[in-house]
Amino acid sequence: MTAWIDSPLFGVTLSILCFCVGQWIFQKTKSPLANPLVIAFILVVLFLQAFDISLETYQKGGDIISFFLLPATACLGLQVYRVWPLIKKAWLPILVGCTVGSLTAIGSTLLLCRMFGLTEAITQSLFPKSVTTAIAIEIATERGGIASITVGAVAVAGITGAMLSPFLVNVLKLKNKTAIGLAIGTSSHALGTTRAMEMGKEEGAMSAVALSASAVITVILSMFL
Amino acid sequence: MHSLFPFGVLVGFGFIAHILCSVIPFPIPEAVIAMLLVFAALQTKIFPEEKLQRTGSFLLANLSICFLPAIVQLMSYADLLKDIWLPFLVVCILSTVVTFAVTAGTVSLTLRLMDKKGGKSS
Repeated sequence: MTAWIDSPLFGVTLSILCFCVGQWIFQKTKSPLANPLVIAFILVVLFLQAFDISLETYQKGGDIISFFLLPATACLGLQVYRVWPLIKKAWLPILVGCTVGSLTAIGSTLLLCRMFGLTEAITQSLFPKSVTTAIAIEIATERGGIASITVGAVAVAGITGAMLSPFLVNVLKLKNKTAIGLAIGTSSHALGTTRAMEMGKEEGAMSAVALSASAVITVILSMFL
Repeated sequence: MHSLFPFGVLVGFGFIAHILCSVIPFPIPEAVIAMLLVFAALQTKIFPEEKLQRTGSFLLANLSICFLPAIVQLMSYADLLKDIWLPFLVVCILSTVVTFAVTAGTVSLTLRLMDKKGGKSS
């Protein structure tokens, strides 16, 4: 058995099957809380625990799935292209929104960390949690944070955006698609953007623009804060 | 036939982004550079949208599975987070919600101000 699961095929198969179960449940329930990624995560972890399979064994296949992240995110350029005239018209709200949003993300994280009395290392690890993983790790380690905690914080922020944004749109009575898209992209990077794309073309593209803009803005801000 | 070419182009842009990322003295995510390259190629019509349509839509629709391995990897940090998992979660979730609300509010306000100004001048 150990020899069989030692192939990347195991991790790839498990990931895709669990994700498809997640998508199926999401389609059946239509509830944003039934997030396919979260369901897949729970199923994969339960499976690994139940059969006592190590993370390293799973990640042989996981690495192959992760490989597709770059070409898949590159496709967001297509999303942006499709609504480019709208984006060009809204450059000012994009710039203002992403700057204020990135400042809020950093400020609220620092404030909350202090309130909960978290250590400096943890606080710095959470500092860039609203931007995409690769860049967040770079910022956090530069500031004396712990890379693995940053990865976790980025994931939680992303999942929060993906799961809660439909509720937030309702609670805040948001109608404007530009505002919704920019809010999702700024607060919860590419993971939130996957949800924004389900809401509509415009929301998805604005979210993609926001995740790029706020990544760059956060890098700049981190040099001064 | 559904060609492999568009996928090759995307991976190729990813590779170029990877190289650019190590050359540019400023930390910009690879993914953002790759996205810009795809956008530039579409905008300049070097790479027509119709060619990317099918592959692009397929990848975008399934983008979130690419995050699965990274999130599963969280299990290995369980020790690190053992004592602080609750404040950790509260900070991340609360801050994300606040950021969402403030960004949405700021954008709505900016749009309204622009509308007013535009309305006056016309």
